[in-house]
Amino acid sequence: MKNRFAIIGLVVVIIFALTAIFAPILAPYDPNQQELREGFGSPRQGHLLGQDRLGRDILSRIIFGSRVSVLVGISTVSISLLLGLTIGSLAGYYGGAIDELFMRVIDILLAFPGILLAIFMTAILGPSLRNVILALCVLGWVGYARIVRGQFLSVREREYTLSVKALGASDLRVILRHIIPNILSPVIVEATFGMAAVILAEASLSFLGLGTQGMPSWGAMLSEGAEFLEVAPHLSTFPGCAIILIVLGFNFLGDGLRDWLDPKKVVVSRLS
Amino acid sequence: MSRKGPLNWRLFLLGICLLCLIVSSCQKKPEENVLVIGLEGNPTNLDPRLATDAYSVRIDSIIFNGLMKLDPRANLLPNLTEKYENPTPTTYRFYLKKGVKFHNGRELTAPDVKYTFETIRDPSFKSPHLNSFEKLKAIKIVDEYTIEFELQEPFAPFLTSLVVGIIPRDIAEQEGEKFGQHPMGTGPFKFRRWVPGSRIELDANPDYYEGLPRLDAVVFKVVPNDTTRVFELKKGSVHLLQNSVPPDSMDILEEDPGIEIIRKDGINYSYIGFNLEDKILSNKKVRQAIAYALNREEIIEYLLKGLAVPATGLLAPSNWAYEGEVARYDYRPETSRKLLDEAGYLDPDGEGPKSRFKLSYRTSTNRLRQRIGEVLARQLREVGIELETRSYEWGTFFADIKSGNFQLYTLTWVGITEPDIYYYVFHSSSVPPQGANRGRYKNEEIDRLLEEGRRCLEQDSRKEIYSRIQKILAEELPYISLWYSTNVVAQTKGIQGFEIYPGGEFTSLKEVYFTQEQP
Repeated sequence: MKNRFAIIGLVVVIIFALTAIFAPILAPYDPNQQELREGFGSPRQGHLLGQDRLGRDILSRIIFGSRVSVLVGISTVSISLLLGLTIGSLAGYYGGAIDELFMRVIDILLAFPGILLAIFMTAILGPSLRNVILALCVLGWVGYARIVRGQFLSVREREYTLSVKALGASDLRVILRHIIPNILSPVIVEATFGMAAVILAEASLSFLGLGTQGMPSWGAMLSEGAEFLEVAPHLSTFPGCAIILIVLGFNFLGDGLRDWLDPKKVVVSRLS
Repeated sequence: MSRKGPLNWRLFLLGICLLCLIVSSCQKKPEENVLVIGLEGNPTNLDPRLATDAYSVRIDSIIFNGLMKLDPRANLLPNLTEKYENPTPTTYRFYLKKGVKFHNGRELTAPDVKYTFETIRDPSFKSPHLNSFEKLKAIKIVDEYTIEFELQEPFAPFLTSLVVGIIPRDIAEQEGEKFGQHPMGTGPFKFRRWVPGSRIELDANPDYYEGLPRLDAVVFKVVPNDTTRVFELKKGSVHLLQNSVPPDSMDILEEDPGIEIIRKDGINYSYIGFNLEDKILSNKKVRQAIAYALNREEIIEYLLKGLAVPATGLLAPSNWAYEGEVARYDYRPETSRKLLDEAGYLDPDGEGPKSRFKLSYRTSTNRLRQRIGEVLARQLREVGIELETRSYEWGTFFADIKSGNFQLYTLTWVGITEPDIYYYVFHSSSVPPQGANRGRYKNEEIDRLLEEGRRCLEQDSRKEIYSRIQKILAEELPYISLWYSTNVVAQTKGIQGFEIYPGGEFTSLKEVYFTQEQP
């Protein structure tokens, strides 16, 4: 059952990625093309998901909006992952003062409510794609760093690590070649859930008017539609569905990956 | 079993809490003969000497009275004044009405008037009205009911500045800075309670010198969200909305049999401001080309739902100094392209995606304004100008505009009745913080005319001067006039007597009453 959900998740994620890549080919209209007199056009042939207040095609805007989500998702998760991996490895491998220092910094950062900090930062830096990514990365790396450090603490005492060390391998070699490959699975799972969280956070920021400007974004579309909920519910329904779908997709995929990569589960299934 | 006991207790307590919450969130039935008005923003200070935001100014109009007042047609009339004289061009003498009482029962006399204007003139008091009184030399109390103002030189707009509400000296001195939180005046309604960010409640003043208002009380309820505000009106928890119905909600309200809509041509003037120190925009041909490229009619019809009239200048047609015979810029994209070519900005690829030049357009985070920005961008793209629209939170936006950090921006002038506004907006000495010449416009002839307009006390000659000013500005285009917004009041059926004032003041509330059909 779980597996089936994971596959559904994977399919959604792949469709989503392809949509973002081939947006200009897939979209029936230019996402910024206005037809003022057709404002609030209902879903019909020619405009499958209807038109917004300025008469722009909602389907085309959702298709192009996926690019913002993909861009923010991938860049935020990769930057956070890289930072988290580096800091977590250093803290977990060396321990002592370095560990103390990083863990206290993490404690301080965790004391901030994530989305509030992001709102605060984008409000100060000004709304733009780059600033949204920056704001989401500030707290994004913390989760990865904690997981990586925890894994390091257990793996660095394992026999194979000790023996590589005894053979005279450098710290860098031990970390990169022997420890990291063995701890990646929980990190990959975390990153998959991270994608969902980041996409949702971007939509929230755009909803509040702190997202990208000049590009169609799902959060901004949702927020514009909320204004006209009574007159034209299709304005917010479709971008809302897109957000739900992609977040669910990543969550299903993450769940599936967790089960699949869980070493304990593998043992159990082999035994049974 | 022993563990189950405390858990049940907790559940019980939780239930009680929830019940309390539900009960407390249920709204009370609105009181009878109390009018509830929805506001889209928060008033900040109800002291008439300090009030700057539109909400405070409008509420002050029913708590206070000034020496002069404006009628719904923006004519200046005496208010607390029995009559006034102008014995010399620089002297104004006012005879106060007798028997006018403050809300605490004390009679209003000349020392209160003097105190009000003396505090406004005190630079440390930081009153936004300070500029209007810079030509004032002295205030003399002749007797208890007579007061005289002496000016340094003739200053035509002086009378208009006397609409500021008069405050009771003793109470204001005693309350100090807190006076703005519990104001007291002579108006038809007296202050009862202010819940910041939520509501302001006023009671009818039984001693009002023009008679008891027909309502028992007025409540101003702050509802910032457009959709919620419209729903509150439909539901009946708000009775009246003045100019705070988004155009797109008009259809829903019009279909509602319980709601009545009143429209009236307005004077609130929306415009696009240029930075004249900008290399591209300092060229008059470019500004004119932009004006010709804009299709105002399209925006008015489809975005504003017809709730605006194309504008020609800061003064609306209802103003005595309005001049209609000025250069007009109708939608003529061909002329626009020609002017841009003449200005030396050729389109690199004709109809193609490349632009002649790129401009940045700033606006606040107001949704309607953002949308207008997107439409303007599309209209300008058709003549080969790329317009990047950026919306900023109000504080940042306004600070940038004042410091000249912009190329184009859009804003609205609200409640303009006195043509001397042109001095504040276009005189070369009015660059912020002195005035509102945000585009840094400089024109010696305009400066001279503006100074003349202030000194001239004869209305016909003044009208000639301001006609000339309006003609020059329409030609020079430091502003592109967009439209005058139509005033819209949406009210529950059965409310009678509400009249729209040019500045959105609530002055007419003293005449408002509910008829029998009120649900």
